[in-house]
Amino acid sequence: MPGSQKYLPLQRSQATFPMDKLLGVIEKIAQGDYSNDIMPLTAPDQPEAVRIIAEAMGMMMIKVEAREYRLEMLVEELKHLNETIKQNTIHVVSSLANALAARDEYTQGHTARVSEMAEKMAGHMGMNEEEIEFVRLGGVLHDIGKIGFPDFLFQAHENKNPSKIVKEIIKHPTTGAQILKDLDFLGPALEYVHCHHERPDGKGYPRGLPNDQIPLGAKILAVADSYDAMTTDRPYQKGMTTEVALGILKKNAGTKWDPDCVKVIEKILNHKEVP
Amino acid sequence: MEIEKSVDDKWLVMHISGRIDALSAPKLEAEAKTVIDQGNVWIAMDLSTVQYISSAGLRILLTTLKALNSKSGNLVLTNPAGNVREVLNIAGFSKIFTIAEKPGDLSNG
Repeated sequence: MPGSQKYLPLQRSQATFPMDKLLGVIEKIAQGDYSNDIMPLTAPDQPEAVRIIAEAMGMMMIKVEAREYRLEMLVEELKHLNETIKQNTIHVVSSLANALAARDEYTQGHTARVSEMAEKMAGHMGMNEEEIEFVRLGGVLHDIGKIGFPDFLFQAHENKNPSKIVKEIIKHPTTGAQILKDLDFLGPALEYVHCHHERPDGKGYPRGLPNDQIPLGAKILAVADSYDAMTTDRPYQKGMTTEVALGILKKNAGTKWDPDCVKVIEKILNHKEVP
Repeated sequence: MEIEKSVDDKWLVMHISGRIDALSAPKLEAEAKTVIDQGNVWIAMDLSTVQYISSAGLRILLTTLKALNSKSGNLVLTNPAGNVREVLNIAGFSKIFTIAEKPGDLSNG
């Protein structure tokens, strides 16, 4: 075609064949295919022009590859640093939870037991590793809002829920969510904290959410939390046996607690070896 | 190009001499593959008697580094002569490789 700039390898003589090959390889490199194909063309047995262009292309390719690899290394480093920051923040927040526990003996073991049980339940419910971790974090932090409770709430009192403190109690999921709201890495765990006292029948607190607006992680926490609360000795009541607590959970499955979560905790508790 | 090997603490040191170009690079590649297949993940290439390195040679260094990093190991380059050091710098290798006087000097090793 007269005037065409397109390279046409018409004459495959000894002189043009390496150049032909070189152009093919350069096109591949331009497309991002960093193979070794250019390297034989840098050898001393190649025509000088081919050798010089090939070596220059080879160097450019290596520079790009080295730069890409450096970026990959930096990204890895950043991921690692980000994970470290995340872990440190979790430690800081856990310290907050521990500070709360120091005010209240009950909370101390409760938080650890709830997060452990919730983690197991999440695993049994087919959640993936990341989702399970959010549930576990929700368990660790679910009562953090109690840090705002006045001291008298932690003192022994005769009646389970004297009316003057009910108002304080129903605030704690919201207070907790407020405390944690800026920690991005908590993801859905923030909502689990906010919703762990919501109920499938919509009569939960603080917002009285309908069932379909309560995340599964929060439903899991609700069951793990209630089970532990029922089976732990409190100033005003002796802890129930596993059987009695399970009976209550089952009786109220569908109203107070999510039925699937109740089935799962029952399965876990029945498989637990009793000494 | 000639390659001799020695051991320095945990490092397998490949002493390379001569030219690393398109003709000799396959030999270096084969040698590097052999020592990696033998289970070495801490490899040093002594470049003190390398007179010239082309893009083909640089590519072997880079692929060997990647292979060792993926096994949580490392490839370090020791004592490159002036012109070789210059090529390494131009290629950006000084930012991804540890270039030292001897493997034992490496704090991250």
